[in-house]
Amino acid sequence: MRWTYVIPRLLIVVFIWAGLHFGMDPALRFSAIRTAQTLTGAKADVGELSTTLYPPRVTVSGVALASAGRPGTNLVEFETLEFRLSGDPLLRRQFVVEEGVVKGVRFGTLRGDDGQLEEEEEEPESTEPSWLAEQLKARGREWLNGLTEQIRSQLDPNVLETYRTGDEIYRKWDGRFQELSLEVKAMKPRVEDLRVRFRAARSGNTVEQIENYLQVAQQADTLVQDAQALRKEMTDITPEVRTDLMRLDQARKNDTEQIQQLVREFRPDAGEVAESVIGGPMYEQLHQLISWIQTVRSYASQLQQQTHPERGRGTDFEFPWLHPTPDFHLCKLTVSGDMRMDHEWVPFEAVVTDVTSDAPLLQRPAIVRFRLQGKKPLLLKVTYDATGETAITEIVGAYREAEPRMLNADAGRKATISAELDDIQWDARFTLIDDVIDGTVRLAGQLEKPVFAAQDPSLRHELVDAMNDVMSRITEVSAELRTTGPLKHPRVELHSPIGEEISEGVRLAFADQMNAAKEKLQAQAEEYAAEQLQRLTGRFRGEYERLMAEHGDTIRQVQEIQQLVASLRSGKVDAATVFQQVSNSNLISEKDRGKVNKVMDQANSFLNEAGVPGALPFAIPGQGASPGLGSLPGLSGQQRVIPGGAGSGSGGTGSGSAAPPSTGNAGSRPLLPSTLIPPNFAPPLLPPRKR
Amino acid sequence: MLFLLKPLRLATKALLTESTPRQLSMGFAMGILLGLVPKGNLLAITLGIILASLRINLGVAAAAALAATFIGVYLDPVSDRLGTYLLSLPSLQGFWTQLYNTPLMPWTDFNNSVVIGSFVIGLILVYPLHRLSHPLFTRYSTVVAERARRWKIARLLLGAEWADRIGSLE
Repeated sequence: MRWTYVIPRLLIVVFIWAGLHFGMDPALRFSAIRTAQTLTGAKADVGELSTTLYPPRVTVSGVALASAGRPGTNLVEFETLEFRLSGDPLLRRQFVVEEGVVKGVRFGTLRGDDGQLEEEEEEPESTEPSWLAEQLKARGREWLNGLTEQIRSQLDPNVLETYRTGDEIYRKWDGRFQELSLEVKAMKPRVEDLRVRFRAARSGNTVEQIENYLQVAQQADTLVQDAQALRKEMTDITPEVRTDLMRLDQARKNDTEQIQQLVREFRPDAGEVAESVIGGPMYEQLHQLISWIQTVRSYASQLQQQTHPERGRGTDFEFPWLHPTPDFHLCKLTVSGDMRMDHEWVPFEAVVTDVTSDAPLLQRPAIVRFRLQGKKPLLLKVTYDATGETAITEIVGAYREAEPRMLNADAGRKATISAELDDIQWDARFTLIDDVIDGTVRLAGQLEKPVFAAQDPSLRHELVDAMNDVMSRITEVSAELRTTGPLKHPRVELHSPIGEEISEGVRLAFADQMNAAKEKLQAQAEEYAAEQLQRLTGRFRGEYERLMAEHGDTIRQVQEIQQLVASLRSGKVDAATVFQQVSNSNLISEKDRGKVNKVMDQANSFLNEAGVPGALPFAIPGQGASPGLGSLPGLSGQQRVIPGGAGSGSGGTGSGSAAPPSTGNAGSRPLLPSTLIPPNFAPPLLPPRKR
Repeated sequence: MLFLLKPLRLATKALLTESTPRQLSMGFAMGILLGLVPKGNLLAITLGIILASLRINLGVAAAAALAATFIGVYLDPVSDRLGTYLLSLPSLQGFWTQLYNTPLMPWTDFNNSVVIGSFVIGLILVYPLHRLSHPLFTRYSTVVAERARRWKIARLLLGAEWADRIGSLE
């Protein structure tokens, strides 16, 4: 036997066998470590990797994948990974894992080192803040702030129309009466001045006296006109005051109607209420779910890149398979291990089926079923269907929290809502197509120990009582969070009956409180209105009567002067009559009256005994050359007698009327020609003068 | 100790003392073929096994394979073009498909343009290299063998054989 021929060849065979037997496992282990490190971006520890060719089986033990984001912590570790490959596909370079088992999986365990690679570090992904929760809190704060402001404005007395109208009317009439008082007071100096002029009119000779009296008469006429206008103005006040009082009453009715309408329509926004109360935990769960989805997608994309090796030398041509099957197909993989939940390890199980590199060829979606035991049992099913043109991921999960969760709705500095949510059950169902997510998260639980506490002292206790009353009636809570849109910033809508319940409850409960508060406020308004009415009425009556009284005295005095001067204007009264009128009037004092009577007696004696001097007509101004008496207009050959003496009072003016003195006396002559009397002079009618 | 050394002595003897020029030239040509084909696939392993099973000088074959490995990198563009042409040839598509669906054949990476191109180039060069190298080995093989005998390790191994013969005679 040619040993020189056999031995070398045998050695080669031995070397090849030794290489496969002793070298393939380390080579595979090295490849696995490198792949895992590339995938995770951190160190990967693989304890042992053993393979068997028949049947094809791979066993990996002692694997720990470090976390790139948390130094010193493992992303995942497991004790053993064992999977069996199908032989026939393996001959065609296709990896079909018929069955795989992973045992002892744990997440987040500690490492002896930092687990970081010394390679170039990738930029860490920006941790997106809980924008949803922040957004929610802002909206909740707006709801309670808006509610309190609305209530505050509605219960503000200044808002009541009664207050505003009454205040307006009072100020209006206060000003008007002040103006009237000033006008009336302004009349008095004029009357006093007239009185003084009337007294001063006696100075000088008779003609001068007459002229003075005419001037007084003119002033008196003007004064009377002003007085009459003022009186008319005061008289016209009454209907205007009546109108204003009717306005005040109408304002009171309007306020009553407004209160009733407010009670009917007052209702906080149910959506904002729901988001304030229950939105926090809902959005947190959604945010966490989206974060998990993004993390898994990130790892999946990296794994996909790793399963396609680096482009080597040349080009690989793919020829059609006569019996096409995917290059990689994981039929079933069972994973078991522990997961850290609330500082304790909770066992879990997962089954992964039909993970393949060519889902359209396999025509079966990949499914992951996950079950977490412990105090917070979780059932999760993820279906990844890439059999069509677009990959669709469906996530269905049910989660239960045995321990109560605190709900806190912060409304800024105004108030807080706190409660316990017990026996919480979560249900989630999502569909993910590319980067678009669509689905719902549902929550159901028992609401316990609800408390609405006011932080702002100005918050009315009616509101606090109403809110607590409403919250105490709510025992069950359910909510649904609908999500659509891009995965990074989806649109969310929260729907929960609790919003409607609280909103309607606030409306009903607060209606009673509001009614009571409004009734109280309305009573205040009515009391205020009545007080205003009384003040206005009293002030009006008092002022009016006072003004009328003052004004009446003034008018009477002026009218007496007018009457006297009218007598002079008519030309049919003689001096005696005038003097008698003056004496009988209240325009002159008792002392002066005595003087007048004395003059009248002297005049009568003179006129009756001596007759009219011939030069008298020439002393009358405006008569031109000295005509005879008969040429003076108005002067006929009448002879007048001044009736009565001092205190007789039985003159032509005994009736007190403004009628001109009697013209029936034969032989009497007018004292003044009528042309000297202003043509527009018309004495008013005077009331009867009381003696 | 002697039990372990005997296979080594036999291998050394086969490499250095009992190789004809024909075996040397065939070993050289086959070595070039093996060296040109990219490693890491079943084709290279198969060629190695075939090479080892032939009655050729394995030493020269190993040396030629090592040298051709480095040279083959520079021939990749040529291999790629040739392989692409062959793999895309319509008349051969059926053959390639049949071959692709044959068990173990996908492990050979024959569907890679550089692999198939290098393999074809190596096959083409086998006979020419053998014919061209045969006179050279005929002329210089004895000289090389004589010089190799002077290596200490060869002398050590060969001397051990002589000692064994002496021992057996006694």
